[in-house]
This record gives sequence, structure tokens and C-alpha cells, in this order.
Amino acid sequence: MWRLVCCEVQGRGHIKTDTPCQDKTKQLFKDGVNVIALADGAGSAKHSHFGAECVVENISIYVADNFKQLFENANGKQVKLAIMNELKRVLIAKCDELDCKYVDLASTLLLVAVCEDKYIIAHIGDGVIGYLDGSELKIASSPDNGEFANITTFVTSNEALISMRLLKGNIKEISGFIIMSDGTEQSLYHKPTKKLANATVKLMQRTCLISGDVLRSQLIEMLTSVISVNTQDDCSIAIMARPFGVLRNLEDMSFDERRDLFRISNNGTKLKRRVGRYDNIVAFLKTPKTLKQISAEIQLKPKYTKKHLNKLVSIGILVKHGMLYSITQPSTKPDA
Amino acid sequence: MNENLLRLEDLVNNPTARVPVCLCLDTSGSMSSGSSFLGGLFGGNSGSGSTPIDELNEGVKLFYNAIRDDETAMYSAEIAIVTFGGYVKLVQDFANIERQPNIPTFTAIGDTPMGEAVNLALDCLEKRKQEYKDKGVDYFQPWLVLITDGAPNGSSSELDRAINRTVELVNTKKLSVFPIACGNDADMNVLAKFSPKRSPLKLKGMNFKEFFEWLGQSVSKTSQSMPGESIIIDIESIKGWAEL
Repeated sequence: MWRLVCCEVQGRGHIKTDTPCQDKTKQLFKDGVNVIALADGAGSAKHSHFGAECVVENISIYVADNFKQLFENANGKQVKLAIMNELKRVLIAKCDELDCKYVDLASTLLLVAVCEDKYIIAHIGDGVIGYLDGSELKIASSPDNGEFANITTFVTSNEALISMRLLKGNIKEISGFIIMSDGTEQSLYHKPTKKLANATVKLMQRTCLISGDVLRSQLIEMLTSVISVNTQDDCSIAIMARPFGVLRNLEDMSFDERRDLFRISNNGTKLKRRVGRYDNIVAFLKTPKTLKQISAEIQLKPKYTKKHLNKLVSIGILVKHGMLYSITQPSTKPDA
Repeated sequence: MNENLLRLEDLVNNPTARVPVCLCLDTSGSMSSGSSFLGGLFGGNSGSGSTPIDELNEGVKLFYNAIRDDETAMYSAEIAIVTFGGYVKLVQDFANIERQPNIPTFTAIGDTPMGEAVNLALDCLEKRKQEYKDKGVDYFQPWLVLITDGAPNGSSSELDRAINRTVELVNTKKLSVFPIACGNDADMNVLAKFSPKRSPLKLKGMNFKEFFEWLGQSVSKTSQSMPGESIIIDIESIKGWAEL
């Protein structure tokens, strides 16, 4: 039911200095637990890109494997210690592998894990964790920058345990989580009012509707050409969302929302007919169909039908497996 | 049709993180005399007829222009100027370059109330930091640049208070101080008291221009730093014009 997506892009500053992207993200579905994680390597730490990668890869698996025990432990300090010990264990192993100092692997950590109707959130350092509760965007954990803009806590810092924010609870009306590094935060989190940009709801909505691979490409494009305007820093984002409440299925969206999703220009002619055609295609493809079947259904020659189908595949609303088209979450075999 | 998930209009407008820089400048009477500067020995100015105050004015002008020419520093640097020459004056309260179209110039007159000037500079700094906090504006560690060619002769209690305040801020990493001496009569011991972590620098001759050029570049570097980056102030690069 939860859809996950994540990505990171190298910042303009790091492109200039030929420094690898120090932001790393991870999405994981394991044993019924959905996890998104993000780590932003420290600028001054020599191997922080390795540190960030080590953190997201390992802590995601750890939390997925131990979700029940962590959630049911009423002693938050013990849970924080358990997480810190796991981080130390994997980072020390990475130090041995790279023959480097512990601090060379410094990074932040942002994590959201959901299992059934429960969630766990963990956060060390800057970046933001937000969520959509009913129709309201809220902040689960805000950036920890200390007094100065270029100072934060890292998983390798002495203060990491004390400064870690740890939350848990029941999902109830929550339909989406979003985590972002400080580079992305510059564009999607308003610091004076401590609010997320309304546009983050659109990102969560798209996460529910568009195939993961296509959405990931779209997010990378967005980070590269829009978000990066406001920062020299690496940018990363991870989203976990489910069709619930404000995050609707396609058939429940308004005409203009569907038109926007289908990338049909508002200036074109016969808008209603064009949007209607795509509505029909999507409705017809709740089960996988061939080109011939779709062409017959919408009464359009196959060569023109294919053009529309290709567009919907490129947008991510449809997927194509072999000769069959379907919406991104096919559930049954095709008709004969 | 724009195929990006989001457009620029969808983004929030966050204020740029600020770098507050306070120039605390000696404009006492001795700055109008060139007798402390033996051009042949120290390089820099020789026989041009310009005085320390002239060179200081040129240096500050160069600093402002350097900030204006840097895309990042222009929006992040906030400059305040306090002078001490006979009396203490807040010539310019913290503001970014856009709000300072006219570069201030100074004339040399009077005694050297250094303690009073530094206290005023620190008061302005605290006030500005509170404004940043109230408005949710991020900021970097502030800088205090203290330039003098002589010894302080204002109130000794004010001087002690200024030294104690500065030392505490430096030791708690809340302030970075650059004490700069120009000429042979500058009291290096007093300057050293203001800066427990960084020895005073002595300008060779009147190399204000080179110093302010370096200052502008350092401000630019700071304003581009990201969390986890150590901002290394490149003292080595100023050895050419200063003596440690």
C-alpha cells in the first residue's frame, strides 16, 4: 500500500570541485516494513560519501529487522543506544575497510520506518522530516544546526546520542512522509515559519500514482534543474506515501489535476476530449491489455494509440511488460 | 509544457544565511601622519604622500567592491563599521551591501578609545544576532576586524570589559577576531589580549588594500560553506603583506 521513492544529486559546488555527491538515500521494503533513509556526508570529512552510504544501507536493514522490538520498547534511551551502537558497529567496520578515521565517515541521518499502522522516526543532524496528516503538512523533526548555519551534529559526533530525535506512534490519518537534506530544505522548507512548501503534497501525490523508476527520474530532473537553483549543496529527497485522504487515486482527482498529470496543455483545443481519452485508457487498463485491445476500446488506430500509450508510459502512469500495458499497479492477468 | 514536477514558483523563499562582519577602525589623529611608516623599510607606500587614513579609506572601498562583485557574498555579507578617533561612532550598522550604496570614508582626529569602540561593536553584533533569530534567518560565526596604529587611551575599565567579552566569545566559538596592527606604534600586547586564538597581524607598511582584498575573499568562502565544512581562514596567504 505504501509507495516509496528516493534519489540524490550532486550539488553545483561539488561539481566544480569534482567532489563526489555526499548525500545518499535508501528505500527498502523488507518483511512488511517500509523504510526510507537519507544521510548527508560532512563536507570536511574525507570519506563522508562512504559514511553516508554505509549509514543508509545498514540502518535501514537494522530497523526493518528489529522494528517490532524497537517499537515495543518503552525505553526511548535504550532504543537510541541500540541505533547508535549499530551505527558505530557498521562505521567502525567501514573504517577498517578503508583504513581511515571514524570522523572521516561523518554524516547526518534521517529515517522513517512504517510497519502496518505503526511508525518509527530517527533523526541526527540537519535536514527535515515532514508528514501529511489528514490535509495538513506537519514537521516531525526539524534541522539541528546549533547557532551557526554551517554547524550540525553528525552520527560520529560525541553529541550524536544526546541530539538524536526519536519518535514513534500510530499512522492513523497520516498518508505521507518526506525527508530531505539541507540542500533540498533550502527550497522546500520555509525556515522562518518552520513549514514545508505546499508543493510537497504534489510530490507525495505523484508517489502514489507514478511508477517508481519514472518518478525517480522526474525527481532527479527536478533536483537538478529546479531545486539546485537555490543552493550549491548536494540535494536529496525520499518520500513514502499511500493513497489515502488527500492523496487520491486518479479517478478521484479533479479535471485540472488529471490534465496536469497527463501533461495536456491548458491552451490546447478539445481539452475535455483529450483528458477523457486518457481517463478511458487508464480505466481500461486496471488489468493488462494489448495495444490491439486498447485501440479497439478507444476507437483509435493502433499507430495513434501507441503514441498516447508511450506518452503515458513516459509520464509513469502506465507500465509496459512485454506486449501488455497496465497502470502502475497491475493486479490480475490480462483478458484473453 | 514544463515537464518538471515542480516550478520555481512552487519553491519557498528562504533568507540567505548571513555573515556578519564588523570593522572596528582606528581613526585617531595619528592615522593622518605618515611618520610611522618608513616606506623603504616596509614596502607598500613610499613617497606617494598618502597617509594611513587615506590607505584605510582605499582599503575599505576595495573591500566593499570585492563583496559587490561576488554573487554569493553580496547577499550574505552584512557589514557594520565602528570607528574610534576622539570619540566612538557607529558609522554603519549591520546591513548588506545593497543597502549601503555609499562607501563611508573617514578622517583622522583625536584619541584612541578602543575599549569603548569594541564594546559598541559587540553590542551591535548581539542586537543583530537577536534580529536574525527573531526572523528565522540563519547566520555564520560573526567576524570582528580590529585595526589600530597605536595604543588605547580611553577608559581602562571599558577596555578590560571589551577584552573580557571578546575573549569569552572567542573561547566559546561565537566570534572570530582579526586584530590588525599598522605602523610601529601599535600596541601588540593589547591587541593580543583581544584574540586568544589568533596572534595579531602586523601590516607591512600600509598594505590595507591587500588585507581587505583577502578579507573579501574570505567572507565569500565562508558564505559558501556547508555544514560539516571547516572554514579554513588562509592566514598563510596574508603573510606576504603582514608579519606574524
